[in-house]
Amino acid sequence: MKKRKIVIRLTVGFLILMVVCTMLSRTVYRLMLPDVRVETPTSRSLTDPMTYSAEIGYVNTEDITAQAEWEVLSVNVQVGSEVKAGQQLMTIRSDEADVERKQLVLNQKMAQTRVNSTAGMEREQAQIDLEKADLALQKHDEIYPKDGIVVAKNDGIVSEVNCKPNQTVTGTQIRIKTAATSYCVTWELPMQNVGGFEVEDEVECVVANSEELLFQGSASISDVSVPDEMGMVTMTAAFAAQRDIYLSDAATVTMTPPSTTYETVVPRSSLQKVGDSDAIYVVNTQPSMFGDHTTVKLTAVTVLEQNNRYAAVQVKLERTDRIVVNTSKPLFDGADVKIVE
Amino acid sequence: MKKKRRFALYGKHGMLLIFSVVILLPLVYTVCNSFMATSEINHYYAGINAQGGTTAFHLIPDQFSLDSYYQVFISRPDYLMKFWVSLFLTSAIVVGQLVISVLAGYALAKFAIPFRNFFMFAIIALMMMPYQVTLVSNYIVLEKIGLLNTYWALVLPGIFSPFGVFLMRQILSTMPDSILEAAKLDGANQIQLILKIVVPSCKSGIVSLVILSFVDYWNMVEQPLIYLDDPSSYPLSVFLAHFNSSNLGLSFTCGVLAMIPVLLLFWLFENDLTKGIAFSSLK
Repeated sequence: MKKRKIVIRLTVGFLILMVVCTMLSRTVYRLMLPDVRVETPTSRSLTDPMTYSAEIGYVNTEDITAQAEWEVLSVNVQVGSEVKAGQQLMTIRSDEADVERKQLVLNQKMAQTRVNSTAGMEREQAQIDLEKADLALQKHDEIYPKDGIVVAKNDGIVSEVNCKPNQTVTGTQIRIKTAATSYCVTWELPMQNVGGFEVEDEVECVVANSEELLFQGSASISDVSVPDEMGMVTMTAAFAAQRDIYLSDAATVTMTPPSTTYETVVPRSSLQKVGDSDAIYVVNTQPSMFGDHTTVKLTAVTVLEQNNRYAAVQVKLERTDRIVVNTSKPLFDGADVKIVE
Repeated sequence: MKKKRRFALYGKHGMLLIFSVVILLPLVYTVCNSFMATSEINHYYAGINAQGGTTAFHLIPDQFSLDSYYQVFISRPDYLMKFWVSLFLTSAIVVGQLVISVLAGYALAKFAIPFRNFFMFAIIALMMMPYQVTLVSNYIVLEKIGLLNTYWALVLPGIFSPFGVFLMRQILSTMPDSILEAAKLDGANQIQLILKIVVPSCKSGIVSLVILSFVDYWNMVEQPLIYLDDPSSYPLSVFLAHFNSSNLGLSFTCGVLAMIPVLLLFWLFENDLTKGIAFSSLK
């Protein structure tokens, strides 16, 4: 009976020792484990979007501009008026333009007379002068309204009227929006950031005033300037907007350079060099009788493309797989680790 | 005549001494070597894996070291975890086996079940088969019921042990029916009969079954290797079987760790074990 008591005490003592040792070794071991930070692989492009602030402008508008001094006699439209091609917008009188036109008509008549009255080489020269005079008059008539009547060349809606009757004006007087795509954004960027962008490529554009968002959508690049002496390039993109946008509104343009979207993209810090090839550590957590057991598995990868932050890799990974991106101690295949948030 | 008897006695003791040394030497060797430093183990057992290599017989450590014990008990929890896995699995199997064996043995010994002899024959036939024979069929069944890679795959086949049923049947068949009938007359139902009459009266048999099945499953190697895929869930017995020459020191220490529960169990129930085996007519 005494022996049995001793053995029972020994057994209990042994089990208690085992429990204490297990708890102690687990605690010590956990304290010594490398702390790792993990991330999951993503599917994405490797090019980072670039955002620039831009100035708003108008495109697809018809501007009625006084090239010389115009004396406004009447204005037949107002802001918001719908106009048709050929419709009278305003009447003007411009003495300067009248004098110039009379001179051009006179030049044309004199050239015509010379053509009729001469022969040979002189006639040929008169013929050339007549053609020049015709061209100059035609150009004048294109610039200056004939008989002081200003007409619309396209269908559209009047968006600006800057003159009143009896005013003497120069510059743009009436602006007509002729199509739905009526705005453009212009921005400057370093030449190296232009990348593969060219005319007709799309950029993301956001326009807002101090109160609300006026437009968010894609804009099509319509012009790319040559680089200036500072290496800056000016780009212009047009976009369609349903709401009225003013030049004072704020615009930003986001350019996402064209790139392949990769199935598996991992942070570049997760890449490990193993000889000449690359590898990543994938975290494997196994539930066990005594809680989760977390280890890392060295997995070989093939790097397809990389930028400063990410690398596209060829490896079979699930979206939920966790990859070590940072560790407090050197790792090896099968190493136990502790994940920190 | 006296001289002749004395010689016979000396001869008997001499033989016993030789057998004891042969049996105890591996245990003593394991315990002694577990106190060696890693460098010392590497020095004496360097040729263990080399082709044609030899190892020295080195019992007493040149320098006493607890390095292996520190590795096993403090440095890493892995070995102790394996110990607990082993203890959990073995305890679950032994408890389950005990319940099934007592009930089945009682039924076969005391009830006039149709085809009782056929069942007994089937149980003896199963008992005679090596475990490896039923390994594949068990694997297929466990796969079909989705228990592979779980501890149930080890516990369930272990619980239904033909040896336990046979042992308990043998013990209970020697129990006089009059005791049970007297208890029935006193108003005991079947549960009370089992708990208050059957179990106490075959205590030594139960202890024998506990010890024998504990040792059997404490040392199991094939079942975890076949039924479990994840090496981290293997018990200590499999872990020990996979040690290699690079960590012999740990192997000796884990050997000591694996030895202790079995020794304690034997020490605790050694009298009951001999009684139980004698009682069951297995001697």
